[in-house]
Amino acid sequence: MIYALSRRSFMIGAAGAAIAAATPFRSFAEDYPAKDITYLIPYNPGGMSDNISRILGEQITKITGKSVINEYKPGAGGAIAANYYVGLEPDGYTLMQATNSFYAIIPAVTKVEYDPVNDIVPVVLVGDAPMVIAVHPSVPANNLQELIAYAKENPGVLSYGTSGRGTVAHLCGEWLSRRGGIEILHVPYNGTPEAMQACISNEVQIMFGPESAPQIEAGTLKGIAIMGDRRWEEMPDLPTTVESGVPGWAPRSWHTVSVHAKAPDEIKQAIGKLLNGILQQPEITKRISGLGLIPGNQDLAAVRKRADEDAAEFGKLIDEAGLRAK
Amino acid sequence: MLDHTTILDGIALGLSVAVHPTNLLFAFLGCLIGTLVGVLPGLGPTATIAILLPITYTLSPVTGLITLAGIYYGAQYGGSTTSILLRLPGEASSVITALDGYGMTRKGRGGAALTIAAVGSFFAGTVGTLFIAVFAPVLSVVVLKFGAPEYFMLMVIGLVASVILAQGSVLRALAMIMIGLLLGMVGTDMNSGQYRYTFGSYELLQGIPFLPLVVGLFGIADILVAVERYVRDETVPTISRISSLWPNSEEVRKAVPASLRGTVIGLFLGLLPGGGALMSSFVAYSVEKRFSKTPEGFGDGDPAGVAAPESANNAGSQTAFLPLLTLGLPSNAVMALMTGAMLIQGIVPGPQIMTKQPDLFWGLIASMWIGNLMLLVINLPLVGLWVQLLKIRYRMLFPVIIVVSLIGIYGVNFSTFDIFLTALFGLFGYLMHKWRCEPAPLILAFVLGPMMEQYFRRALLIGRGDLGIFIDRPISLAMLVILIGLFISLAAPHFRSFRREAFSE
Amino acid sequence: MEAGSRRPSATLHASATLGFFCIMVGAGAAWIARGYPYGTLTAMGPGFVPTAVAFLLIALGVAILLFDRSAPGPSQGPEANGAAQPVQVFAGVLRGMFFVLGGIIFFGLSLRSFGLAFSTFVLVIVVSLAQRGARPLPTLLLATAITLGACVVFVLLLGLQIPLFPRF
Repeated sequence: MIYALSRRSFMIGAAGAAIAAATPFRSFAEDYPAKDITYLIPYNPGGMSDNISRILGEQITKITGKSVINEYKPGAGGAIAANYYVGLEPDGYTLMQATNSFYAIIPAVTKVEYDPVNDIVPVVLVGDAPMVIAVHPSVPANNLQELIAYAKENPGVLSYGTSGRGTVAHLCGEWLSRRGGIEILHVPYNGTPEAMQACISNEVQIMFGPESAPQIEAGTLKGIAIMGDRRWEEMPDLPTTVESGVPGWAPRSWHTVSVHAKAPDEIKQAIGKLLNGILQQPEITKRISGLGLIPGNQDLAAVRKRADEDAAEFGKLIDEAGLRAK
Repeated sequence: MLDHTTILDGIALGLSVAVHPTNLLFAFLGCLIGTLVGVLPGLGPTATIAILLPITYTLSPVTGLITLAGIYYGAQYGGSTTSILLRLPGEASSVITALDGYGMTRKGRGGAALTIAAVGSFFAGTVGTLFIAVFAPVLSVVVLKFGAPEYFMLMVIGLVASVILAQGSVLRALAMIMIGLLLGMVGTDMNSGQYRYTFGSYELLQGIPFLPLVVGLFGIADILVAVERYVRDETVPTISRISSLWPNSEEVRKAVPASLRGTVIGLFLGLLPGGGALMSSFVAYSVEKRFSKTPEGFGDGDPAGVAAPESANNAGSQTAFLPLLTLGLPSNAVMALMTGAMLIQGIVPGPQIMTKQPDLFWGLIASMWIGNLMLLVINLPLVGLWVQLLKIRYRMLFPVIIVVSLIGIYGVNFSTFDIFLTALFGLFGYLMHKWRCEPAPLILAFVLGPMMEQYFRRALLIGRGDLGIFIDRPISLAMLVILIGLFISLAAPHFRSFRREAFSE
Repeated sequence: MEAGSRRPSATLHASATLGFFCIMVGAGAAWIARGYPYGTLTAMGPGFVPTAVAFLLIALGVAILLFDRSAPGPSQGPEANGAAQPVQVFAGVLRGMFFVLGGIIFFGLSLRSFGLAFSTFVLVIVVSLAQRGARPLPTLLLATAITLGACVVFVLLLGLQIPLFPRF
């Protein structure tokens, strides 16, 4: 269910008259942006990507005086938006609120019409979505090793809920079952909230993702570990999977603002500079962490490198799990 | 668990938050804007909230959420208005209202139908709010008792109920249900990732969108039929003049008990994730028709057929807040937007919201009631205005309906594909009319079908392939028994008449 | 208008066409679904339900052809005469359908490139032609009014992201 909206075009009240002209105030020398910016959200409104776009869009408007207009194209895990995006003019005036899935997972598990290397490029890193492993409190395990041991003793008992096939959470499950040598059943749901409700009611026992944090805090779920090698400030007691004895790469999810790879280089630099400037503000950092992300900001080259690494690692996992689209 | 004093304190705290002048003002504005936008066919509550979301960023979190709740109620109610007056449901929950609401309009009772809908919704909203305030903690436990097998059973019951709802031939209703199921299957299969009936189209990977289907089958098909009638009879299509805007005593007598029953049904079925509002209005309607002394009048403007589904879906939209308020989990697209709004405001919705943010929790509950009151205050006077729409000559009205619906549909996905689908379903709706087939069972099957398949497969996945999961769980078993009872009651009249025939010889 | 236009130019039987339609759709659905993994009742593949529903639809189509010749019509919709069983097709109906559906399709084709104003204007004029005897001036006025209203409400007030004018 979608609509696009002009963030600035609303005044409170039934009349809601559009205020178009804002005082142009440029905080940096380049001409970008010389006109309004369209912000493509590949998922439903109200989700993480939408929330990020609303925070960043508000700041872009505040700094540059240009409107940011959200456009939503959900569907097929983001593939519909990505296919649509690459068909637009690569002038740098349409941003896409993407995740690493667009570089590493979607092109592998779905039939797509875009090339993740030559068509789109991540210009900044907004933040990492910490993939928390959480279990229903009835599962007799308090850490990763105990969970693996329990699953080995009781094969065919544990299952995990995700928001669908080929999502990062699904690949987290595949990763855990392969690296841990255990058998856990994947149960796809219609969205993360439904999966979460199923885990709270013990229909499934394991959840992967940042959404578990408030549930762990409330005691309705139990935190086990965090995927990867970096702890999360919000849950400092939660060990990483590396610390928990499963070394090496682990699936992770991170959010990025992406643009056409064919956009002019100076425009890409300007977008990167503008957005990194926004992301460095302490207040924005705080709001980004409030969404459940580990904020970060990296330059173009660093994000690109990370996307490539992910593509290689996820690719191996997708092949092992037999998820690659024919 | 909360004791009585806590609940009373809570309600008092909530009211003190909600009656703050700023909050009252924004509740009013939210309801008003929601009603005005929701009346445009196509733009339902989700789209309206998403469009207006940025307004709330400048407000305090409580005021922001109160505004959004107001928009939600307003938009939902606005959808019923077009349903009743123009037989153009803007969203799933008002599909049923179109049946008898438009029937009443044809009889010149459109004003009364709108009034019944407004008062019935207010009553159901009031009960729903109290219900949540008192039973929220208990209900959140009940919600967690429902898993895939229970939801599956519930939906089968709903689908069986829709056969009751069908007028005329059961065979045709079943055929429409099958077509609805097939249409619902278009898209990517969740479990396997298999594309089904997508004909190589990217747009269809996500499934057939709801609005083009509904607007095609109802709105466009009706226009085709009306234009045809004009050609055949050379009469300008007109709708009977609106007599009084107030229901007469007979209408009140029929509507009141229907509204009560609808409210109770809505309270429970509203908890169903995804299809709650639709299911509750369908089931409430079927119950009325089943127990009515004059079931033949249904579909032709029975006031009970307006009061029951409208009360049910409004009671349901109150209880739909429950998973969000007690578990921090949004149960539908509108709730997801509210969650997003909370996050942007720096509130992390979770199970502790009641204890950590009591003013937000109770303020929202109190403003649900205030919102319902505002809705009544805004809409009763508007009834007079809306019925003026019917005075517009049809030749001028139908292009307006087409234009507004198409822009609304385009505004949801920004896809011209959806516009072509609308034309296609308009043609199909016209054929259905010629075949004397009802669109309502098709739409219920379209919405419930994919969910039923998912829940069935999920139940077996969780049960590791054992069908016993449906009888091992007490709630699921109880629903199975109800379902068998329903089948028997459906078959009973046939059986009785068969016996009568047999004995009369 | 001559009286001849009121006589149906074709008469079809509702149950015959509906039954045939159901069988065709069911057969088509089953044919497409043959490529989807079938699975078993307890471990369903994506093809299980579509195939089952498709065959049920075929069966219902056959049943409608055989048994459903005299079903009473519903009282729904703007045309509430349940008595007439044969479907009557009028020549003028095709005209109405052509203009209404054609207008919608044209709107879909032109919206992106020609903008909301132009597309709405043309849409109103085309659908108005569906009714015989639409007079030029009132139609033009109506089209102008609706176009203005739509642009103001949807684009200015609601801020929907739809181009107003042609993009060249």
